[in-house]
Amino acid sequence: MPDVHSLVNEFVIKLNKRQIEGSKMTAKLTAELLRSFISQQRLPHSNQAGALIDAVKAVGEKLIAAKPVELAAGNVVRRVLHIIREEDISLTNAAVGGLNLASESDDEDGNDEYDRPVLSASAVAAAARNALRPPSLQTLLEDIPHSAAVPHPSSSGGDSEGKSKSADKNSMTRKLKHNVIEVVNELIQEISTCHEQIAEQAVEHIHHNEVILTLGSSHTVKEFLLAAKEKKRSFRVFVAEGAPRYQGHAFAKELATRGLQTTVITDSAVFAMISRVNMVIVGAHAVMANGGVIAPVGLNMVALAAKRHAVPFAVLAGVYKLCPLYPHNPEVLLNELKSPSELLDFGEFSDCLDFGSGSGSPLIHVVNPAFDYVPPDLVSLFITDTGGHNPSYIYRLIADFYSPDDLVVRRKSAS
Amino acid sequence: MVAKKKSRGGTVGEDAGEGLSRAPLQAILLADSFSTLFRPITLERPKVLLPLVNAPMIEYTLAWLESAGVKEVFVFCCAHSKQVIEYLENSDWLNQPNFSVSTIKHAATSAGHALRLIYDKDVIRGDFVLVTGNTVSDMPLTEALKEHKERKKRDSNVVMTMVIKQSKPSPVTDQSRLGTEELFMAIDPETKELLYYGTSKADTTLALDRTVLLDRSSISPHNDMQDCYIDICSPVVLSLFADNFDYQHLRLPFVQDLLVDDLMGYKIFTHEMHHSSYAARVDNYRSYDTISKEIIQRWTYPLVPKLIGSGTTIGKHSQVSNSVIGENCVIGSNVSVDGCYIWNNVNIEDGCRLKQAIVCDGVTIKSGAVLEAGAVISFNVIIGQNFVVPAYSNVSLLQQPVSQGSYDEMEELVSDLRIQEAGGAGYIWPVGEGEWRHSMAPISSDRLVEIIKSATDELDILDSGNESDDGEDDYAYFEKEVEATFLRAVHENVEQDHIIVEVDSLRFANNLASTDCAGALFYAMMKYAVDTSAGEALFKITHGVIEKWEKLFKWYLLSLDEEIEVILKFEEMCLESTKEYASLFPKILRLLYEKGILQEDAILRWESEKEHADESDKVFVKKAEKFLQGLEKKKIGGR
Repeated sequence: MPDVHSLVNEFVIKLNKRQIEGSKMTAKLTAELLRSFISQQRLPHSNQAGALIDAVKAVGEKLIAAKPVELAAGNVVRRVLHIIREEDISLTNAAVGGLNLASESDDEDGNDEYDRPVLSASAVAAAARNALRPPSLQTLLEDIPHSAAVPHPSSSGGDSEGKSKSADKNSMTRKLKHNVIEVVNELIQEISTCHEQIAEQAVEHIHHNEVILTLGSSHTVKEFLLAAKEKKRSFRVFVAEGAPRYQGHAFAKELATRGLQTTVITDSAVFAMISRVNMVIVGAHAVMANGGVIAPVGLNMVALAAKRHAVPFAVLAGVYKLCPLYPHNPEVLLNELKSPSELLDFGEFSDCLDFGSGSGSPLIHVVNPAFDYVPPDLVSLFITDTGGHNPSYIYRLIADFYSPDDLVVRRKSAS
Repeated sequence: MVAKKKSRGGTVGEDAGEGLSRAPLQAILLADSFSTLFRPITLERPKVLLPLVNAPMIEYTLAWLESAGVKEVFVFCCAHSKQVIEYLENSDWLNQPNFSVSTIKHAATSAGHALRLIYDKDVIRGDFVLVTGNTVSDMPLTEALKEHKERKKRDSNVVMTMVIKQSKPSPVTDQSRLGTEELFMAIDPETKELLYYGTSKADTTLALDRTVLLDRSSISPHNDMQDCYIDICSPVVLSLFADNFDYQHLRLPFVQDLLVDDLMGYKIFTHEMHHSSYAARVDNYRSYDTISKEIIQRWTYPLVPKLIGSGTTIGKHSQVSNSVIGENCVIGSNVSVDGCYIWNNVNIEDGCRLKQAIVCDGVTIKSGAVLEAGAVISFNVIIGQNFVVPAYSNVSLLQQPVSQGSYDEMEELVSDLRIQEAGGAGYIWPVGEGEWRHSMAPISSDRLVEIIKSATDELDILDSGNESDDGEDDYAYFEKEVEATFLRAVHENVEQDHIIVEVDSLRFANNLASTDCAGALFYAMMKYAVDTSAGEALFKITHGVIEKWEKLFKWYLLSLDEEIEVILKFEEMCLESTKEYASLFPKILRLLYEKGILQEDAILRWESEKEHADESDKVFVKKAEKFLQGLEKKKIGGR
């Protein structure tokens, strides 16, 4: 088994070197890393949750520092911290409940009658929180039963019966870790399948003979469009090429081979074409707490064009892209400047980089930002794996998935 | 068992891709440039550890090698090897997964020496990448590597693939961008084989062996290529260095020798880097400046360090532009910093002005001091209050080491200037001749004009020089040919018209004037006359010859110029080659006159030309005095 710290270091280096790109990949790998980290973590007998939170925060801090612009890493770290807190609360609750019921042990899990072998993480989290806090809007809406019992299969249940107090504590230790890992597994599952859940909603949004505009390339958008196509919706797609990486070219090709009517346009033609468009559907890099979107460069222009022509602007985003921070938070690095080589070839360009004869500063500068910030008032709808949401609702959604204590992932502030 | 079988099968029908993945790619990184261009800084710290935009240079090289797929790097440390090893031990590089860095420590004196030592160690198992520790790049190596392997499969004499990159062909750009010499290459455009390699300093002519054209249809000479100093080498390169102790540097004369030596038939190929990739080498302060700015512009993305290090404070009303500032520096108020590289723990007091300077770790610059363009302040120097460091000067706590070879009185005279007044500490080294070339300061427009001028001047000199040399050779050759033609005409009774055609074609072939023809033909005739006369009755025979070939000869006497040329030629012959004619000079002159070959104007002009000449030159004028006087009289009488 590889040492977990070397795993963390390797991950940090990979992030640093931009070998891990994209929020989905980052999120998934972060979750997997944290899972193995938690499973190898030795916990003290007292205040296990606190110790675990501290340890995870230490790792999380490193991951976030490695590539601050990849907000998904921080999101997942915060999600995991939240999970630990929730599991801890539910365990203490169960213990308290156990005291109250005198002889009843954890085995009551078996009595759970709900026919849901794998609950979504949000449901688990919401259920766990209900014990101590007022129910959130989502729980109310989704009508999750107010039982204190957290349904998860228990392996330690049998052992703990009739054992001494210390043994019981030992089982508690294992139980916390076990439960946390269980839920983290669900999180990983959620990250890797969220696009399917988003795509399921496609028919509700794409109608016959519509024209959809998108920019650049997004896996989620592709699945979304193809899902609509599978449901026999016939529509056309305009793909803006997405300079400077022109991922839109490959994206359009991919769509066309899958049988979609596709038109490629330049980014600069978006405004001219938008009047023919019924809906703009794009992916996002991250969704901020205020409903603003960090998205591939060029999208702000598209959003403004859509607003001007009153075309609905829908953003597809998995829940892991929800960032509990506001764009004005000092921790948030909204943008990244990439290599000028995507715009200009160094070979030709070097001729203009004649520092020696001029004033010492080059006459040419290349600015190649990776992202745009789309303010919330330009976004009509967020389509997430938990359904469609208004930008103004995002802060509530965030309250469901993150604990306010974790907004700033720093070890010292936690203790 | 199965795996074994597979690998055995692989070796038989192994394709290039499999070969690539099977042998882990190795690289040799020379952590020393074996040059003194970074003195005085390199007296105290190795070049590879100098910070380039707040990260040591070697960091860039290692990061690039790792990202390019190199698995094993041997860092060869010479100067300050302890510091390099210490640095690597404290960094993460020594315990990376899938990327091993090991150090070799030896006090080698040159790159060639280093490679010989590596050869002795016997650690290189296959093709390897050879770079120096000051290379900054983001170039993927896979393509170049694949090309190299494929070539090697076809031809076992392929020893090296050199990575080159296109750049603007201009002496000014080279000079001002990287402070390097212009580079000339000749490359086979089809196979990319390197046929010639030279810098403008080393050679003035681009000489190619004619044999290189035997089996290729074309050669393209380049002056628009830049050498990236990234080489993919076969292991044999090490043994070549091991065999020849003259090879000190990685390029000259090693590369030239390999190219010229057709005994072994070793071949070097080039790989032109893709335009979008980036590669550069920090050779001197100027390239340090240029490359730093390119890093700031993010050409080395994702390796983009901070411009201002942590813990640095900058006071009120201070201006910092186009600069990099390291960690824990204190910059006072009203300081102006333009185009400077300030390293760590530097203290700059109020009111200083710094322009295009490098300020190393631990330097203190007291209030009001001025650093002029191109100054380099080495470690822990203290610049006193209101002191002005002149342009291009190097300031160090250490005195300039006197090189053993060139120790003479001159150097003793120009000793280092010690700065102690106003609380300063350090020595200002004398400013060298070509300091402006390599320093960071922008080259003044005067200098640029000078460079352009000198570049074109050089060409002019070459051109004129070549012409004069060739001209003489050509004439001698032409004279011989004309003589041979004439003799053939005499012996084989060739028609005069044919001789005219032949001589004319010779004239055109050698690009000579018609006066030369007349001279040469006259020479041939007279020579023939002397040769046949055998000492006696020379005049008679000459008379006969001239009479016989009169018509041919006259063909070439188009104007007075040709006739004067004939007289001068005759004079020359009498003095040098055929002294037999010396006594007959006036007689033959008269004969030529009487035959109508020479007109009186020509002879008189010849005389007047000679009037102001030395006495020795007038020998023949005097000899022909009587004849000349007669002519003159006749002329006057004629009128």
